Amino acid sequence: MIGLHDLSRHYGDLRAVDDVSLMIEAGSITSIVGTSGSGKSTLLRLVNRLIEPTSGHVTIDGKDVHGVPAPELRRRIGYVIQDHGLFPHWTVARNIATVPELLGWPKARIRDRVSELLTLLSLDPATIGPRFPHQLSGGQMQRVGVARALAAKPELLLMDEPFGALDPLLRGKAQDDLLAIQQTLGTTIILVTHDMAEAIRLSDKIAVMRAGKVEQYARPSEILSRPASDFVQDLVGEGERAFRYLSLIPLSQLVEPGEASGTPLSRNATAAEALNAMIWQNMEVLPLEDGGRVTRAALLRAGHP
Amino acid sequence: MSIIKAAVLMGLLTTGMASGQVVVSSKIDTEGGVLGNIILQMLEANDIPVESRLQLGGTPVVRQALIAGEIDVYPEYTGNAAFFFNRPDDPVWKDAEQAWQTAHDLDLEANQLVWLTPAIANNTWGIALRDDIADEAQVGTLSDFGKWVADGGDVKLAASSEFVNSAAALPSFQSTYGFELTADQMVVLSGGDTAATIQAAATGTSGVNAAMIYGTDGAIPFAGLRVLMDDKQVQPVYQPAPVVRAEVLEEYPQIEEILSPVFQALTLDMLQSLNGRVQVEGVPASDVARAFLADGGFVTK
Amino acid sequence: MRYPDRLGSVLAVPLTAAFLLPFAGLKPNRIASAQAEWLHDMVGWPFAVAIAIIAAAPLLKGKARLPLSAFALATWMVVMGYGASGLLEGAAEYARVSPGAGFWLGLVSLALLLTDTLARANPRPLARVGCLLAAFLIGIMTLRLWGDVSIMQEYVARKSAFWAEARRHVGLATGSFAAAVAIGIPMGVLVQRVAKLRAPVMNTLTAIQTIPSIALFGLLILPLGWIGANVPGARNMGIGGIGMAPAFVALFLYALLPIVTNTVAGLHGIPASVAEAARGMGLNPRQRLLRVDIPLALPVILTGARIVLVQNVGLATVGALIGAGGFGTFVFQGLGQTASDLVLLGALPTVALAFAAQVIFDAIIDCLPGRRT
Repeated sequence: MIGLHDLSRHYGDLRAVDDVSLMIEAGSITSIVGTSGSGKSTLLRLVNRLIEPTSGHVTIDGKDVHGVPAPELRRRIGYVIQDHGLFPHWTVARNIATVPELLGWPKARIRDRVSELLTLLSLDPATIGPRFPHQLSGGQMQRVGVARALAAKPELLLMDEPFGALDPLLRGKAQDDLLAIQQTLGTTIILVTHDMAEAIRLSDKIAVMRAGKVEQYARPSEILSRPASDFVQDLVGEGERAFRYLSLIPLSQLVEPGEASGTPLSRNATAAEALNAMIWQNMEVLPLEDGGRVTRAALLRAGHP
Repeated sequence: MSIIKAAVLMGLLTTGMASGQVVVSSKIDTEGGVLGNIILQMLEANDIPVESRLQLGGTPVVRQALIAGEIDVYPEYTGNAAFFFNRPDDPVWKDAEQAWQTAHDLDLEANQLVWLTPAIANNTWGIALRDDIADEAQVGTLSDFGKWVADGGDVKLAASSEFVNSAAALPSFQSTYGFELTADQMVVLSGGDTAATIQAAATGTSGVNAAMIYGTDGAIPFAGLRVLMDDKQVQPVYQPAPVVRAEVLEEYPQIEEILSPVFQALTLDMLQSLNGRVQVEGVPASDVARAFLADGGFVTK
Repeated sequence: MRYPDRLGSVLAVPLTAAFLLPFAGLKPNRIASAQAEWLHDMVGWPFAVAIAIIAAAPLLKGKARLPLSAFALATWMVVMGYGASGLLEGAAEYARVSPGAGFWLGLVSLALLLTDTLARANPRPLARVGCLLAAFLIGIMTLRLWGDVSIMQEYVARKSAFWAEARRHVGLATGSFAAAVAIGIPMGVLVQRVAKLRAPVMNTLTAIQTIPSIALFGLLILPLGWIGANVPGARNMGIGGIGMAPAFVALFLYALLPIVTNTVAGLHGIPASVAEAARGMGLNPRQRLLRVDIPLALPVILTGARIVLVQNVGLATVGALIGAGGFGTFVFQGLGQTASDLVLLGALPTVALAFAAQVIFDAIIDCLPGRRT
């Protein structure tokens, strides 16, 4: 459980973070969303003490983060930034091994961990490990950055616009990977992004920030259906609202018994994907892979909160 | 009782011995190499512990080092005291004995430096004439030279522009010895390098048969030139003498008597020849000094 | 072997001039001016033509250029040696032979050809040092045949002094270099961190650079002399107003600016994302400095260091004016005696030393792991 208590960070008259309180559940993915200058990056960096608060405090599992020297704290928290900041003079393997080396892990254990992480991120340890960052593609560098952050098995992972530099195709894949990793490792993730769609897709909860304050902190479905202010609503946008909402609903919730013809859909597919398929195929009903079917009418009903 | 006396005596002796070596230095030019090595080898041969810092640098550096006590003795020219004590126009510098005495007295009082017996050689600005011409015209001194030129002698002098223009140099010679060189009786070189003027007179380039020189230049004997005596003492006297710190001399008073006969043996011709062996023949200065001391009987071979 | 390439065509000009200029100079004594001697007079026309062919051969582009230019260079040196012996037969007692303009022009042209050919092969660092060593060994072997050339006669007359001064020169240059690196890099780190320090430190160091070396020596005589006289043990360590100490201090001060400047520039060039990541991952300031910042800034820092080393090898020459010894001793003694060969005895080894220092240092820089920009 990560607790932000009355956290403020002022720079003279500027209130970058203004009296923010949030409780983040362990094992969840929380996105902090806002436009530039909203204070979201500052808030993130207050957690691992890259910035110190003007007032308020941060707790991790009830313990104030201030009780531990900052470098020591940061070794237990994974940190991923948009430009990934891989060390150019070290191989990929050594980059990933950074924190385990700092913590004094035995060499064999480090070697195994590096292989494990590269494999987890679909990179071949034998070929990618010995390479230098400048020899990698953008997508590969981003994945190595994540691997490096996860090397010492942190319980908390902080990510600042981690997918911002990727093209849309890679971005989608990277988001999928993140969800998969989080499921496997159970890490608590706090993610800063300006992309609401991304936040809705990935998060268990979203905190919307404006001018240093949190305007709403709720589940994605609630952000969509009951925005707390016009600003939140604008951020979501009216254009894709319904489809975003549908993307949060797995078909397992809408399945009804029966049969239908056509390409079967997976139970885990979202209502949005199902509606998209139905419109494209001009069908009113489609079967599910494990049996049952879903109707267009049900989908349309579900899109209205 | 006698044990205590012996102990005190021992103590005094050892403090004397523990005070270390005499640091011998010299300027970085040819003559500095020769004189410096002479001093060094003489002291060494007489069982005085020495340390060599020969050919240290130019006059300001070596003088400063002596005053600061970084070195203990080096050969300096009596005439230079005029500049050390800022009295360039004082007539004492034109008389050898007075020059030495003044330098000695001033430095002893101001800096506790003692000027020892100087060499006879006078390493000052002068004019040298080709041997064959000097013989033919029977010119031995600058007075002779002045008369010879005024009577229409065929002279062509190679000199630096400083020598020609500086009031203390050629104009001074001309007014004292009653001659005047016209523009085509001179070849003016830009630098102050006497090797070039000597070379010109030796080979007769552009008809040159006389050269501006310093009295003890090593190239003179090889060039077939003769230095003309400054019998009316126009130029300040520059006799080299060892200058030693009073403190060191107190500790080793024998330095005076060791060096005195050696320096008195350094006539103009002798010093020229020693410099010549270093400069023209290329023999290292230490070897030249060694041969001089052995041949002169100052050091047993 | 085909045609002369651009370099060959360009170097053909000075190489031709080398044959048209006097190859050597014969002087009646050490300080007299030299009479010009031409190659064909020295070794006869057949040999002169043969040498011309040997020298011209590497101008043609082809695989054999490397061995041909090395052979030509060695031949050039050997010919000078034999030619000098020939000139001295029947000459005056104290006569000396010096290489003439033609010799030097030819030497430089052939050396350029050789180094260019080597550089094009882009050898690995270790190979470069090996080539340097080979060149020195071959050079020393040819110098054994230079017994009748004036420079070598100067050397023979003062052999032990030469090596003593060589040791002093190397010690002075490398010692002050090492001190400047040891102090300059931390100083650069400090200046880069504390913005307020930057202007005063850089201004002071720049001001020091403008002081002429002799003046700086003069300024150091008194304070160092005082230390030598009053601080116990200082005199025994060789600290005093004259000698090695002021030269060392002066060279050290001159070397600080390039080191500090390059350290600051190197640290400044580290990408912000790398610095942010290093901090965010939990490296403390010392670890960031030692594991990330300095290694990344190292190529720039080392370039500054190389400049300083070569600078110091040259500047150490001036130290002779304050009694520090080194090759400068021969330069200034030679100037005082108007003996140009003695000056060369001091100047040429200094140039060779500077060149060697550059090659070795560059090889070290290229051996560094990681980035190949």
